[in-house]
This record gives sequence, C-alpha cells and structure tokens, in this order.
Amino acid sequence: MSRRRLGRELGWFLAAKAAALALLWLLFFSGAHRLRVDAAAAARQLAVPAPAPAVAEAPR
Amino acid sequence: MIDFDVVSLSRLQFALTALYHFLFVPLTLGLSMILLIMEAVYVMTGREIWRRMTQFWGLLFGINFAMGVATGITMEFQFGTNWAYYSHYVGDIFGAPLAIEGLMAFFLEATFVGLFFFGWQRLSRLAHLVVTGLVALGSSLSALWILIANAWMQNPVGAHFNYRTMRMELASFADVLLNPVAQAKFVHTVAAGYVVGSVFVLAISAWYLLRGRNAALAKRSMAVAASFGLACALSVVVLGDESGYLASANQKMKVAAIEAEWHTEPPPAGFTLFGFPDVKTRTTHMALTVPWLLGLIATRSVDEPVEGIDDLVAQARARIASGIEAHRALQELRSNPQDPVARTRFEAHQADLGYGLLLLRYVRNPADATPQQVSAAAWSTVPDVPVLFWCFRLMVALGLFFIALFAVAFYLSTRHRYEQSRAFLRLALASLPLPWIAAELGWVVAEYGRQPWAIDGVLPTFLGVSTVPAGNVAASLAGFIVFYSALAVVEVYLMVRTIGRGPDGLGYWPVAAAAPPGRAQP
Repeated sequence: MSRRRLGRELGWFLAAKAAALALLWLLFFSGAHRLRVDAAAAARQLAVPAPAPAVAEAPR
Repeated sequence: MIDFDVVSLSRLQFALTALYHFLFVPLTLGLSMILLIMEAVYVMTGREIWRRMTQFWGLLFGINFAMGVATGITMEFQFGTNWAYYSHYVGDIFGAPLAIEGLMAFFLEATFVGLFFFGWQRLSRLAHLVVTGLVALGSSLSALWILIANAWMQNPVGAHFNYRTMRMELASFADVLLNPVAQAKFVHTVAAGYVVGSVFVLAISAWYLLRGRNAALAKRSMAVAASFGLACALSVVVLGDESGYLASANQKMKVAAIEAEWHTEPPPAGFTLFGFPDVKTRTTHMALTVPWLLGLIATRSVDEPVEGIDDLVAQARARIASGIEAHRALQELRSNPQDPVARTRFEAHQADLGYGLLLLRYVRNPADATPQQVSAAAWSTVPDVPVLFWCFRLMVALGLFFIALFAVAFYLSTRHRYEQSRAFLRLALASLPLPWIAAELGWVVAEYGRQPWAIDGVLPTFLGVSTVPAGNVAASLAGFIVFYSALAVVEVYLMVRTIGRGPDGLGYWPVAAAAPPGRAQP
C-alpha cells in the first residue's frame, strides 16, 4: 500500500471514529444528559435539608 | 427517594463489567511476566527458540491486552454515569489513584506494548528486554493504583467528611497509598494473575504436546510455567492469608460471613471446612470443623475471639444509634454551620454517620426510625453468608489444586518426562479455565462481602447511585451484554485461531541468521 493511500485511509478511519465519538457524546453525555451533583444535591440524597442561603454553594 | 431498581441494575452492570474485565487482566499480568522471563533467557543465552517463544506468547498477550483495555475503560465511565453520588461523595480520594493509573501506568504500559511488537528489528536485544520489562512493570503498576482505590473502599483511611461540601476529602495521601489493605490486595491479586498466566502457558503447551506439535517450545514453556507458577501459587496462599488477617481487623462482618460464624465462639475458633449455612436458623448444618484453625488464621493467636455475626449485628445497632445522632447534628450544621453544639456533637458521632445512613433504605429521616427499622438496618450489614461461604471455599480449594498441579509439572519438568505423562497433560489442559474461576470467586468474596457498603462503614451502596431512570440503566446493561458477548466471540476466535496455527503455522518470524550482531533478530 502506498504511503499516500495509507494516509488517506487512516484519515477516513480517524474521521469516522471522531464522528462516532461525537455522536455518543451527543446522545449520552452532552449537557442535557449530565447529572448535576453538588453539595446541595448530595445533601438531598442523604436527607439533610438544604443549607441556609448564606452558605449555599455554587453549582459545580 | 432512592429508586432501588436503579440500584440493582447499576450493581448488576458494574458486577458484570468488572467480572468480565477481570477475565483479561490476570492473563495480561501473568503473561507479561512470563514474557520477561523468556526474553531474559533469550538475552542471556542467545538461543533463538527463546525469542520465538517470547514472540509467540507475546502475540497471545497482545490479543488479550487489547480486550483488557477495551473493557477497562467502560468501567471508569460508570462512576460518572451510574454512580454520580458515589463520585461526588468520595471522588476526592477515589479519583486520585484512578487518575494516576491512567496517566502513569497505563501510558507506560500502552507505549511499551507498541515497542514490544514493533521493536524487534529496531532495538538491541537488551533494549528490547528493557521494553518487555517496562510492559510488565506497567501492567503491575496499573493493578497497583486500581487496587489502592479498591482497598480504600474496603478500609477508608486518610480521609474525613466535610459537612460544608457534603463529601469525603483527602486528609493524607500517604495513608491512602500505604493502606495495609492495598499492599496485601496488590500482592495477592498480582500473584493470582501470575498463576493465571502460568496455567494458561502450561495448558496450551500441554495441548501442543498431546498433538505432537512444537514440542521444543512447549516443553520449555511448561518448564517456565511450572517453576514460576509453583512459586506464585504458593505466594497466593500466603498473601491471601495476609489479606484475610487484615480483613479480620477492619472488616469483621465479612470474615464472619465467609466463615458462617453465626455466634462468637470461645477462642481459638474452629474453621468450618464444609457445611450448609442456613440464614433462617443462623446455623450451619452438617458442619465439618477443624478445631483452632480459624482463630489461628484470623487472629494469629489462641486467646482472641473471632466475633460472630450476632455480636457484630449488636455492635452495628449501637453504631446506628450513634449514626442517628451524627445525622441529626449534620442537619443542624447544614442549617447553621457555626453552631458549636451541633459541631461538637457531629464530631463525636461522625465516625458512625454511615451507619445512620443505612436507615435511609427504610425511612426518610433516620431520627424517625422505629426499633424494627433500626434492627432491619443492623441486620442489613450482614452480607450473603452462603454465597461467601462457598465462593471462599471453592477459591481456596482451587488455590491448593494449583500448587499440586505446578508441583507435579515441576517434577516432570526436572525429569524431562512430560511426553510420557499424557494423563498429566490432559489434566493440565482441562485446568485451563480454573484459575479464572478462582480469580472471579476472589472478587466475589471481596466485593459482595463488602455489601451493604460502597465504602465500608462510610457510604451505603444504595446512596451512591445516580438519579437516572431505571430504563436508561437497563438499556446500557443490555448494550454491554450484547457488545461484550461480541467481544468474547472475537477474543476466543483470535486466541483459538492463533493457538491452533501455533508457532509452526505462523510464518511471521523466519529465523534470521543474518541479523546484525547485537540486534534482536526479527
């Protein structure tokens, strides 16, 4: 196989792989799918009431 | 409230993917070290057959390595997708060794695996040997960092809970790194991996001898596998004993469940070789007991008791009461972090906060728990006794079998009598799946025995799951089953095809008499 053809094939494979990864990210990991877990959410999970506003923490 | 369908499905998914991943890991660990031994002999003696042996077993190592990588990555993603609260709660500590594993060990391993395969013609013999050594080192370092993370789940040292951030935070990385459980688990697991690799080489070599093929390679491979495997099989037993001894200090309930020790016996406790644990009556039927043995193994003394499940449940009940106080103080601190009384009370009880959290399975606020709910939570600290009892005994029996197998192999090797011992060759071949079964049973004992905790005594497993729909987890679980089944077919096909063709059928490596001096031959 010539070097040029090899380069072209590798390029196609890498592009296809990047597209597949982007699709996976879009379908499962993009912002809409991301679960926000911060101190307030953890407190709710552990049945501890939300803190007073003065000590509220910014979401991560 | 917690969706327990999500808990069950997430646990099942993690268990399946972890057990599947560990089909590949021990063979990578074992074969990498066996490759190092074989190539060292090649470099020292200059005998061509040892290079061909290294390359042949290296090819099988490569197939297995690729599968191990593919199945390992998905596990790390699950901490974010399925175990988001776990990751928030302990990510500060748990994430560090995982990151180091990725950055240091895995890069080292992956880089030098490439050099191992493509460097035969480009590196000197010694340089290639160093590369093989670094592959083996990378494999072991990879295992080390993962096991440091896992050991912290069994024995959470060097960290404390911060009520402001609602998470565990790292207090001493040295304590996490030098966790005695991590050291014991590392040497035990790596030695078990070496046994897997040795049995693999022994069994495949036996198959060649039974077929009358590749006898020179097979006999030498069996000699390496027998001697290395014997040393490692003996080590696994000794190092496993150390693991058990440590567990008897910091995971007493796990040890009591493994031994079906329902009640505390007068010391030294007897070891139940065989029996049928009955959870309902809390007795072991038809128990065959060896006096003193459990006391000696678990406490290394004749006057210390091995606490039974009843007593440990009573202790858990007391810790749950203390945990309720910790939870109440935590609620007050979340409302007013400056409250000195609440802080003092929290600090007095925070070691038991995890026990208080066990009640969230039964009641929304632990302070409202009834005595029956406290009792149910206390009994929930007991893992599945029959499963642990049998898995442990089967694992130990297999460990002892490997010692005998390698001892016979070693004897036959020293007498050059492999080919005359066809019964042994058939036994060696039939033993091929056994080390994997033993290794998987070991993980079942370690991880199922840790339940109901994700982090022992700190975080119940059910609180670690993500708040995602159960359907999502079921779909990803189905996807894993389909994808991993396909991978298994590919792995078995490639392995069987490569072994079937054998060194004699693989024309990749013609003997290169013309290779330049000082260079590794192609």
